[in-house]
Amino acid sequence: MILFGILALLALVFAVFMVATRNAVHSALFLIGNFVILAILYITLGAEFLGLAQILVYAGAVMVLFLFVIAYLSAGTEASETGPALAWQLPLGIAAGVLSLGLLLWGTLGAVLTPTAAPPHFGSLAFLGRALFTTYLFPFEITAFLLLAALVGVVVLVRDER
Amino acid sequence: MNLAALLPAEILAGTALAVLLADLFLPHRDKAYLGLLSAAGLAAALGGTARQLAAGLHASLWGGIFLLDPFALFFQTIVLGAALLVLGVSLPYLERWGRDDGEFYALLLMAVLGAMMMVASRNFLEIYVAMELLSVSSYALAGFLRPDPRSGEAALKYYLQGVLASAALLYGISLLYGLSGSLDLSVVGARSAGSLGVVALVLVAGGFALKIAAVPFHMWAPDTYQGAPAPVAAFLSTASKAAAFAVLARVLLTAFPAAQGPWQELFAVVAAASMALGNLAALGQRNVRRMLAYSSIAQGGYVLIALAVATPTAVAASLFYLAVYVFMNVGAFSVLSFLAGPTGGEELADLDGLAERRPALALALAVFLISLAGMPLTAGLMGKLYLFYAAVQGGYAWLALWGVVFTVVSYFYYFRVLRHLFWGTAPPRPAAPAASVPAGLALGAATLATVLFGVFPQPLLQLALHSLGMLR
Repeated sequence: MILFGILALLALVFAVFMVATRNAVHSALFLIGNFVILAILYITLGAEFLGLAQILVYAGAVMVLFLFVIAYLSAGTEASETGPALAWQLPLGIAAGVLSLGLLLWGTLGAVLTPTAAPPHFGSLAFLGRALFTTYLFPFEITAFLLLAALVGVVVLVRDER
Repeated sequence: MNLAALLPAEILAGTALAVLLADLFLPHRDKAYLGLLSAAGLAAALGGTARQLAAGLHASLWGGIFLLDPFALFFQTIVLGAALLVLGVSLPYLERWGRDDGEFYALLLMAVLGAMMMVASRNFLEIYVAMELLSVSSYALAGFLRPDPRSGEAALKYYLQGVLASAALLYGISLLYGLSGSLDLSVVGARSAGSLGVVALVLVAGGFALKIAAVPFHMWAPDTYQGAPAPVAAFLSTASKAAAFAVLARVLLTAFPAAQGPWQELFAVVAAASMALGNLAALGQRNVRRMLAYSSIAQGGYVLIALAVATPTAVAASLFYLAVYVFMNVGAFSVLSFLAGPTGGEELADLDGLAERRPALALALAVFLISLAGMPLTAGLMGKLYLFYAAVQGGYAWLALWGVVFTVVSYFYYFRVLRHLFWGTAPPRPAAPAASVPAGLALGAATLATVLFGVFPQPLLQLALHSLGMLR
């Protein structure tokens, strides 16, 4: 519980700094920090595969790509340019944030929870693999089409005109 | 058994892959064959689905992840029919833009596949994956003419807001999973009572509402419908909207009957707001495609009356409305797609005197707009009548009255287009390109259906009522 509190607080701090900093590279680094904390949280919850995948896929692959793109696009420029700020944007954003926070707090505090025991080995690699290739085989196949669509879509959107 | 019942979807998936592969080997002048191949695949899938619907198939597949019941089959038929019409119109459109590449057809087929899987899902995991397939394909389709900045803008705006809606949907699903320990629609609702269940339901509904372009989530629609290729706008406003509505109705009616009171009120407000905002904003538009986008938001509002009322009659009325809406809205966007080219040509002034230049196109557009407005002898009137009647019957007379008032408001902008069509003076301009055979067929079929279902609405309404019979 104490460990969870510390980790949750750290994750929040990283998330806030990620949004607050004006420098894209710093922002990405804070995001990596947030991802790592999340991975540790997953592992403490017994979902070791999810935790490892989080580190490998997000903190590893995705963020490296992210940093590459930032490096290519804004090499030399320190902080991201701030366009003309809209006067109503900040108060409206804060209002929306407070409203969502209130809604979530209202939801969580009044929740009627009926704890049920998780199946044995829940979250383990074997459990996940079995679910993926038996119960959820068809959705799994559909994700193949999803990736294909994303691939074709990206090629369509970025290719040069003849 | 499983594989046989899913044959239409498999045909579609196979065609999509075949088109992608064949695209690599075909010389550029032969690309039109890819369109015909896609049309053949879509027609075969449509035929198969229609046969399953006629046979009253009711099959639970993959341990209940899929439910091919008449409700799902009805919507699959709508989506496939809409896609076939869109494809017919796309052929000359893409050719004119010099972008008749295989990717367009493959993406369209994969979007249809996603929509087909979505409406037959009974499991949140499958709903999410199928909806992402529909979304990702749609983003790429919206930006297909990207050298045109408006197309890029259309894709970007749709993508950014779509991703936000996806996140809301996922968050809602994760809360429901946490509450119930299951992703199965038949289990989730019963175990998700309490305030957190309400929050989760609102998040999930928000995720679907974006695809319907209902009011708090409508902001992407005008820019995307205006900037995307016209046939894609037609697809997004009909097939995509119908699929999202189907899932929303299924989730609410089968998983959350217990929380019916609160979500009925929620959708009464959303429907009223969509009707008001869509119709009022459409009044001020000079660009016809943008006007149709706002009209589409309003039409989404009419359909959502069904979820506010939530009686079987009302939901059947919405099924009828969505089915005929395909014909009139794809039709209206199609006529615009013939007129417009890379140089624009979708302003009201561009339609001046179209009745003299292209009488057939002008007549077809007039039929579609009259039907969208809801005038006698068109399917649009029957659809609105059924919806408003069901609302009065279900104790939502104020919503029906609200709908009637804004229908009258909508006459102003629909009939303004008619005035330009028939009474505008035609400025000299280069003749619009002649319509090709597939496009002519699609347009003819849409016109005929719009009138036919207006004069003989009963069979379709019976089918809608029957499709609903086994939903609960």
